[in-house]
Amino acid sequence: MGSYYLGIDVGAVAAAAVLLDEEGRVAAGAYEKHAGEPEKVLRRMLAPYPRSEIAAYALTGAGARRLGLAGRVLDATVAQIEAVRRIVPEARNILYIGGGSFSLTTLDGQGRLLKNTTNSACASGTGAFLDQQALRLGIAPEDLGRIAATYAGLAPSVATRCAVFAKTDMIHLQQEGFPVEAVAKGLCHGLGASTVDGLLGGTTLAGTTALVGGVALNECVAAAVRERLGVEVVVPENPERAGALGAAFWAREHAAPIAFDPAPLDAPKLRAADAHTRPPLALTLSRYPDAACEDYFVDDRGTEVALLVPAAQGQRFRVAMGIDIGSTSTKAALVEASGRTVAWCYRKTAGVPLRATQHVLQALRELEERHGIELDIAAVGTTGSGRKMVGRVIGADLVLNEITAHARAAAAIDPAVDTIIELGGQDAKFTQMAGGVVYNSVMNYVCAAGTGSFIEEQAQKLKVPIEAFADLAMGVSAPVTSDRCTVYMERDLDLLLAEGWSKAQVAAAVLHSVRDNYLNKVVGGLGIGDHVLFQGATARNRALVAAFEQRLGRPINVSPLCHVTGALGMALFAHERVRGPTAFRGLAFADVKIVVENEQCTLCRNRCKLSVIRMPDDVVAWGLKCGREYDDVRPKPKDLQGYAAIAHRDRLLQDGGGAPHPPSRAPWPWARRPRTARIGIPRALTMHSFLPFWRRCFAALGCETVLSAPTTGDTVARGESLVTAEFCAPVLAALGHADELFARDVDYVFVPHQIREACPEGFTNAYFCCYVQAYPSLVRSALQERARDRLLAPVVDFSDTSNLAGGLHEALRGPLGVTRRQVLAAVEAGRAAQDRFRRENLEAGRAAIAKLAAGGGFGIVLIGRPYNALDRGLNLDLPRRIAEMGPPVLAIDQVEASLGRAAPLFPNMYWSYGQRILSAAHYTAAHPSLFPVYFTSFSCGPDSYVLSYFKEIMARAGKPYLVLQFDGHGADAGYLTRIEAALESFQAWRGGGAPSVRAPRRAAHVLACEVSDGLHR
Amino acid sequence: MVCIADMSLVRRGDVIFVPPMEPIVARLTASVFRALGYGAEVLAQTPETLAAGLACTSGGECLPCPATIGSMLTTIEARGLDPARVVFFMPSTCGPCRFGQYATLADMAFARRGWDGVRVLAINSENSYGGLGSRGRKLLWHAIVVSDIMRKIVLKHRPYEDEPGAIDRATEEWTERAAAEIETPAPDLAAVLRGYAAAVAATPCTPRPKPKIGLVGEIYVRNDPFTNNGVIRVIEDLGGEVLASSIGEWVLFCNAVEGFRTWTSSTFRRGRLTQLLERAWFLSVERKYARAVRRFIEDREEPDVMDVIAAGEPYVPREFHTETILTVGRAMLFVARDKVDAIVNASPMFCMPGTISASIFARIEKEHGIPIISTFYDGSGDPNKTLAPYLHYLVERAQAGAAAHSAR
Repeated sequence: MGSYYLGIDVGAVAAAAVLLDEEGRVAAGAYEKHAGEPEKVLRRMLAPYPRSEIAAYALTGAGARRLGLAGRVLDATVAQIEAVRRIVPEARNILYIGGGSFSLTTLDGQGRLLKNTTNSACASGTGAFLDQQALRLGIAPEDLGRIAATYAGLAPSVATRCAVFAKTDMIHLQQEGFPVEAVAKGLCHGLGASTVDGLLGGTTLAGTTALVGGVALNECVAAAVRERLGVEVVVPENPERAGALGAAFWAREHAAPIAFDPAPLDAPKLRAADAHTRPPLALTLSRYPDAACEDYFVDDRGTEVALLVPAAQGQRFRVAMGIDIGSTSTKAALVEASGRTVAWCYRKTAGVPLRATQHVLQALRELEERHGIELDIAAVGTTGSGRKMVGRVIGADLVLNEITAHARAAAAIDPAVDTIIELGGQDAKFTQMAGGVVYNSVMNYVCAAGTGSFIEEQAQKLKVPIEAFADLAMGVSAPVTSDRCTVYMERDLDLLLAEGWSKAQVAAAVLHSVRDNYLNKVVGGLGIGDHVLFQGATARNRALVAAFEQRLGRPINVSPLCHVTGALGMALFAHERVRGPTAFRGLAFADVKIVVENEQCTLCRNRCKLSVIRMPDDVVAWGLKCGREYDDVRPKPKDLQGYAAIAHRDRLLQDGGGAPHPPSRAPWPWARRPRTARIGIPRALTMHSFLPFWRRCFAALGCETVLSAPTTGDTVARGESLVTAEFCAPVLAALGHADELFARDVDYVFVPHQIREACPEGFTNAYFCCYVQAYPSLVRSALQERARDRLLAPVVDFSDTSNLAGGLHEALRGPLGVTRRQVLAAVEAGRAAQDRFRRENLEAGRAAIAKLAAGGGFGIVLIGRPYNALDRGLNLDLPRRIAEMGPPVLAIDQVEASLGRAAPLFPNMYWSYGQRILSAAHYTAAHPSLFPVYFTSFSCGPDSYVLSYFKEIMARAGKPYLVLQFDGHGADAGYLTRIEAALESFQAWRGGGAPSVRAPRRAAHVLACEVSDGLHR
Repeated sequence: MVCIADMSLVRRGDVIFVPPMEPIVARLTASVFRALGYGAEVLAQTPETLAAGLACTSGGECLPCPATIGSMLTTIEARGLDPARVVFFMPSTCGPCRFGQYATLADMAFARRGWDGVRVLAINSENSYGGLGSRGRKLLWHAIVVSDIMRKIVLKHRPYEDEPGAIDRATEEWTERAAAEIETPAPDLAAVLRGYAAAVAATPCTPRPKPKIGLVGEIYVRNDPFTNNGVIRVIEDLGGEVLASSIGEWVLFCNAVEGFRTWTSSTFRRGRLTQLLERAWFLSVERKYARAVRRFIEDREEPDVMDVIAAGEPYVPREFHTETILTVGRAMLFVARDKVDAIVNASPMFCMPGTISASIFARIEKEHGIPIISTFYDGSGDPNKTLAPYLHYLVERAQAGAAAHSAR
């Protein structure tokens, strides 16, 4: 029998093997990336060691089982623990960062497992991601860490939440002049930091941490991890072999002696006989245009130009020009008043929107020269992410958001269009329309798995030029694969090729994946109508369109102008809306020398970062939030008329309680006076509705109430650091508020179990959300010792008055020494204050609506729970931004929506706020001058149903709406565009009568989609 | 659109479809409906039916909702059933968790397909169980208790069977017998239970040292092998023995909540007597069946729900009418009374009571010194993978403990 013990680790990216001798010392070890063929690699690694030498062995890793070897397969975490226990015995934590996953394991004092968290669903923190980006920088993956460490400066910021965004950031950094070492450092740093953050979820580690896995070899990542963790981090020798080492240790102590028979490694890996394949890609139902034009060329700056109409020498075309300046590409379309498109241009933006625009203008001049024609540009409109800046600089007559622009083009192409599918370069949009008006649109810019970049990445990997991709995939049957992430897809590609699928089949599989990803993540449960238009540059990939047709079973139509629809829409709008001479500087603007500098404005607290664009005859400053002119030295106050009702509500809410005073008349001469106390009240959850009640109540009991500070991003972060479970942002903020109060000088913190309200007629109950009810339980769990003595958490049930007072008395008599009668009187006083708040609030709403009727415009009702929609720290101050754009905004409790309205349709709507939301929705739907903007939180439980009901109500009324979802993290980028688009829709709806906005029928029976997590099972 | 129905709208010849919440209880529930004279079947769940449900819901709903709706949609379409003869048995609640909304959403889904005739049988305690009638309610309780006991027997013996699959076969056979018995005029389920217990006792088993794992959480996902990715089998394959919360616990909890309401509210004093009588009857049925097979489950006795509530009350108040108090309370009793080695808390992703429980467990885990692992399911990935390392070491410890014991 042999005297060696073998451990084998086959992961997503690499394979490792370790041999231990009889004494448990490492005799040999190897590690190599397997490119989808671990059997070959292992064979080579193990060749020097005769089978008879091996006494026992064990395996670990995601790919271990597939090898077909007879040995025991250990869980990867167990293998890590077995290794670390012996080689870093003082470690209390193990942080593992591998090729395809990362995890954090916590051990107790004896090295036993306490807790394990693993992530393998999103590739953004893994070795595969780093390798991919290293190659993009032209660095060999194994050199990445070393090269990154040579950069002495601070690591520049690189987004590591997604491979595609990292790519964008890295390109920008290189364009800005950072050397490749700096970019590499930014990448490594970003990965180290975000992986740690993702795993810790705000908790802190104690004790020494061992860092293992292939990525631990990267010294720059290791440094970032060290910095982030703040505890001692030990990287053992050969961290990449830790799994195999642990398996070997375990084999030595526990494994039954099985002969190591490597024969299975040589067995041909055939595709499973019953491997699913999809039907071949074909366009049978859809109209797909041919690419015919009069002329097409690509100029020497890489701008594509097409002339679509015959042109005679000397001919003059009077056109409007639309320019769509997007983050990936810049497009232009020239359209005559009749609606005929004369020409279009298309090029990459490459991070420089102004220059890209100039290149487009230059290309148009070249078109003129080439054909001896003149382009007489009567009006210019801009859209896309660069619309405002570029529009300002070139003198555009019209600037509109891209959703509206795309929709306008779609309506011109097909007046019956009801669905627009758009997979852009880095984002994805889905728009629902009726009667030419957008009534709902969704944008995804967080995960790139359903975008054009996904396809480009894989094309690169397969070494297929993107132009040839569609031809390769057309007519091909693809294997079924996962839809997860561009990086996992890449890994799966290796495996597919190794299994013998052809490049064409793999290319087709990529398209199926991107389509599934788009439909599952962007569209979700939204209905797909019967008149579908596919837009965006990816529409030029006919095989992708075929993939959509296959899954949706209906025609997916593509216009010859599919890739320039934003520009087309703007040109059409320019014809419709621009009167008088154009302000456009002309095609000659292509020659103007532009210098862009960065400055910071110091006139007010905002400290806006400006881009100052200097041209020979003008200076344009971009980024001033107050909108002042660059040379005007006073910040411009914004007109907030439209926000007055909300501001008024804020004041009513705050002041509704009144100053503290003891009970006016003691019931008996000898009655005790209650102890006065300072009561902290969290500015959270139901306090956004019931604050007047509670403040008045406590004031009547002689207590002073102290509110927590208004919500900020820090409040949410604070709450996040206290819990590991996935709560919605308002609850996280609520925990942050409570935490803040316990740190302040208050005698008690009042956090009631607010159970329910009085049940209105027609409903079955009127509960608050589960989290609201259990708020004190969460506070206790989160804060533990700190909360123990000072937490006042009575059970409060507004549906039962006598019990309300009784329950309060029970909770308060000890701390405050109050009698039941005093509490009853306080409750009465509280009710009076609350009623007054309700009345005056409604009055403010009435006044605003009356003003609206007189003025003739339209207004917005903020539908949603007050603790989300009306908390400026959570709503990103968007209500104010909406008001700045024109329409007045009203709170949900400022409209006279009788609660019973929603009851007939939804009698079992047993959530109090759900009832209010649906009633307000009814009211708004029926009101000719009001439109809803629904504020919801990511992972809001009740809204996963209430939102569907809301959409049903709006669909029946045929009215457009806007839904904004928040997750507690800043960045208003996409929101403002969608708000602009929504306001355009509302205006269009009012202008063009009331088209029927019927909810489209749900997608017909959907073909089976892969629900497993991919190929590695 | 509102087709939320009660039994009066169900006709002979209609087929009532029962959600497959748990294999035994679903089967027996279907029998109860057949005993009452209706057609009834248990719904099937596959990746295709789930995909169909996910395709017509927004994506944030708790997993049992799209799972059951998807099964209904697929069944009606694939079999070309007449919607007007189809009934979807989807009990509801009046809050505060989202379960009560499934019926409404299902109703909307059928209406969107143009199947207005499909009735959703959304019975709950508020609507007096939708006209189920005294015989129906009694039979249903018997079915629940019998299924709970059968499950206790399976979980206690299957990990030790010598021949894999033997106890599953016996369970399958005796579940069918129990189902048939329910449809007879005077069912004697105690005899069936005794027969089943004897069959299991006759199955060769070898005692082995195994760690005991308490399974708690949301009632559907913790019991349904499809939505929980077979978590019980996973634990057994990894070398553990599962002790599971019962289904009857929820019924007794609803009764207890009724009781609390009658004690605290002046308008409900009359209901107090009803609640006490009902509780007494529930417990008498439990006792009867437990007596019939006492030997087989003597160390798996179901605790009084009042004890479960008391064990959970330090963490959430009794007025919080969700599963949290049961999840936490039962887990605490598993630890204190059954001396389990770990707890698994299984819920749908974003389940609110489940997330609250997970949050509470994260903190009290340290106090109790045993792992409490919360798993969340949304139909993708494999949340059960996280159990492997824990089971590895618990099994190792159990075996070492037994070896040390026998060495002495």
